[in-house]
Amino acid sequence: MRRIQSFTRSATFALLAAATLTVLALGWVVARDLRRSADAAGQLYERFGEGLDIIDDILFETGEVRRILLYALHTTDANRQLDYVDQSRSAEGRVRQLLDSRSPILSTARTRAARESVAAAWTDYLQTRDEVVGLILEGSLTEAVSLDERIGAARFNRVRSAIADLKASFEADAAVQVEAEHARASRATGRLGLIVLSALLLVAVGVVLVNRRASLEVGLRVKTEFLTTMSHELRTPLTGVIGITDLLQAGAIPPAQRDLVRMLRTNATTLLALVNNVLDYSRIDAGLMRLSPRRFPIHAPVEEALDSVSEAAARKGLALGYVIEGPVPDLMADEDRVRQVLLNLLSNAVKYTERGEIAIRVRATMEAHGTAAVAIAVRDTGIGIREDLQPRLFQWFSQVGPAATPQAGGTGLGLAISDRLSRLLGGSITVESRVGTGSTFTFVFRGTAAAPGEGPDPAQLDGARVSVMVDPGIVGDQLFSLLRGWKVEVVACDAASGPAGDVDAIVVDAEASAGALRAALLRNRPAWKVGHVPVLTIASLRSSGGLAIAPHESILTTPVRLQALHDALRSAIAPAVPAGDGAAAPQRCLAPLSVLVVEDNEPNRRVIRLMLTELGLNSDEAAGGHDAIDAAARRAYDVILMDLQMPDLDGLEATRRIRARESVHRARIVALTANVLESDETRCRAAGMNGYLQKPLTLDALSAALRSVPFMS
Amino acid sequence: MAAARPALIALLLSAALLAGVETRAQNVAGPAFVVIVNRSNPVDNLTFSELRRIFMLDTQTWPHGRKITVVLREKGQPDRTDAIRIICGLSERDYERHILFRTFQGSVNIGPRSIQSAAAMVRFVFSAPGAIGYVKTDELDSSVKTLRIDGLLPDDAGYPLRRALRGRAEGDW
Repeated sequence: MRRIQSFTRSATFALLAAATLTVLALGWVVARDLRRSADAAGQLYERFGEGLDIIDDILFETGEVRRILLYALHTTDANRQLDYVDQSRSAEGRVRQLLDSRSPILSTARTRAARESVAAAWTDYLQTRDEVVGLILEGSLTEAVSLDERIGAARFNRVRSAIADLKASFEADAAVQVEAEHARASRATGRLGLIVLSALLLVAVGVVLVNRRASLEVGLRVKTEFLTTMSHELRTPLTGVIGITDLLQAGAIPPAQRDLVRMLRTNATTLLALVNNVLDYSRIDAGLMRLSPRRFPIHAPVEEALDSVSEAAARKGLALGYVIEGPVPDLMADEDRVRQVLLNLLSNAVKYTERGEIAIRVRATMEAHGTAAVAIAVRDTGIGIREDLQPRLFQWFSQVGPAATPQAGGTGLGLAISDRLSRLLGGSITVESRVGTGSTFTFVFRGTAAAPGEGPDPAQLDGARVSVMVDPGIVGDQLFSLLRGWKVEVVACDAASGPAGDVDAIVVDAEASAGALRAALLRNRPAWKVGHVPVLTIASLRSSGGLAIAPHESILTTPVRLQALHDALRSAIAPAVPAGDGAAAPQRCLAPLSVLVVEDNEPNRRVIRLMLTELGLNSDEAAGGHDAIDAAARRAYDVILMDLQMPDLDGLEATRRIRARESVHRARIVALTANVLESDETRCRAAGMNGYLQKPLTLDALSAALRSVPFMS
Repeated sequence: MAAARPALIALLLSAALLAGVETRAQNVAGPAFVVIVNRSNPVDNLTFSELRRIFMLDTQTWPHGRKITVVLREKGQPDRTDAIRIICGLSERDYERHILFRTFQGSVNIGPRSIQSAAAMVRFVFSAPGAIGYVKTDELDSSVKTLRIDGLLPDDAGYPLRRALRGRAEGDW
């Protein structure tokens, strides 16, 4: 949509610019034509007037030639006669000059012919005139008069007639030119009309495009609001479903039902992921996606993403694991987005892999200014992707090749979202794939390298001797990598003869060699004299339920977590040492805290109350904003869990009013929201809230939020 | 013999002096009269006596039949007096008596035309096909034809209308 919007904006500007340029260009052409036409008309009228003047002058001077000459007949004084002759000749000279004029008025074919007629008539007359002059000067006045009357007058009239013809020709010629000029002006006017119409058309197109663009923007905004609202509505019931499954998992339920609950939670999580994908798409499309960097160790999002797909992988018998190759610092980046991309890549890998393994390998490269570029390669042994289809992988709503099957499912948004997220994170996603062999998606992102936070203490396992019984593959690679990182001595172990020497623990992959390795170990423990050595069995969650636990054997589910393996080994080697604060251990040390749950949705309210009970806390409930204000006025709560969207009074306004009434005591108000737009956090803080919890609410997140209350013990 | 030698030298010197005087006399001679006619006139040459008969109106028609119109400068002008004296050998008064006499005789319809300036003389001759007039050489232009007199042009030695001017200073006639 942003592309369309951008394209429409660009097209609008381009068209309007083109319209402007076109109008300017055409306007210039028309202005030039009109100016030329006006100039031509002006020149025409000027020439016309000048021509008429010239013709009139010719006519006048012609008359002068004979008129003055005739004066000479009225005197016998030779000098006066000569003067008259000279004046007549001067007039004749002026006529000749006018006729020889290079004025354009006499240059057209029509006037040129007329002028030649005038010249010819003049020549005839002047011949007579000269004879008359001669007779006058020679004193033969009678003969001169006779000659003039007999021949001169007639020839002179022919001259005048020719001049009249010249004038008529010129006028006719001028009329033709005027007509032509009128036609030219008409054409220019026509073009002007065309230009005006074109300009109007272009303006209309521009207006339509602007309206279209406005419509698109309105449509985009409406769509974004719709998707946001819908995702909120979808996430609200999902909150209840996931919360209930968390409560079920936290409780004592039969192992047979535990898988069902886990599947329930997985499906709910998948549905939630789908909703999140749609929401992410709308946010990316609307340009509203913002990052929230925080410090995290790289194994955290990797393990969480692996954990999320472990159930699906276990169903297919796929091995899962990761190896961190070389030092990778803790990072300041948006961990949630990193995990989201990884989860998407892993989900695809699981979806399109039927056997083998899915391995993650992490490398980091330090760059300038303390930035680390982290490359996470997700390799599967699946069906692969044809090379010609690979460029379409990252397009919106694109599913390629065998992926585009009903069984594959999906919206075609995952990889596109991941690709956009990777770019937001300063990196990229590339793919290498061969059909039938598998695919490797390499996700690169950048973050600021940070000092390492708390993690397993390598010294606690330093010098321990551990034997590892695994098949070649990612699980073994991960185990060897972690153990060597903790300076644990890995002792070789042969399936036939057992560990080569004393060991502190044996780690065996329950799935290795189709379970044969573990079976051999358990069978031969006495023979191998390792009956007392703790055995740590790595098994998938699905298969672990069917295992018969042997003495001194403990189960560690895959994918192997760094902290869990460390704790398990430490427990096995030195059971006296208490295990660390495993996340699985419920936090039941939060009492006494007074908590008010403000939530208009009754099932959600019930789930939160149950979670709080699980954490050892009692709570009061309010079904709306007004109830919350009243409750807060009656009792000084330590924590208020405030839903943001409520029909009577929303959480933000309720918070403002509660804050307005507070004097000394200030409750810690934590927002509960399924609206996960980044702007929400800002609005919450502005209203006086201390933090927010994102729906669907999990037990761990609720526990962490409550533990962060400063006055808690 | 010795006594004759100085006389011979004196004779030669006298001759030389005379020759020098002759040379100076030619150098100070004024411009000659040039006889002009209309360019359409086929006549190129006149004998001096033919010229005189024309100006005396004894001859009034050109060989090609065109009536001859004699043009003179106006009365009292030196160019008129001199021209009459040189060409006709008469004073102006005698010339006018002669013309008047011929007019009374009825043998002349129109007497010589009088023109006030040399330039007007030229223009007149230019416009009148049968006219004959005269100007000084420096007043001549190409609009009219110059006639040879006795086959001579003004620059030629022996030109008859110059002889009468010998000994005069330029502009002194």
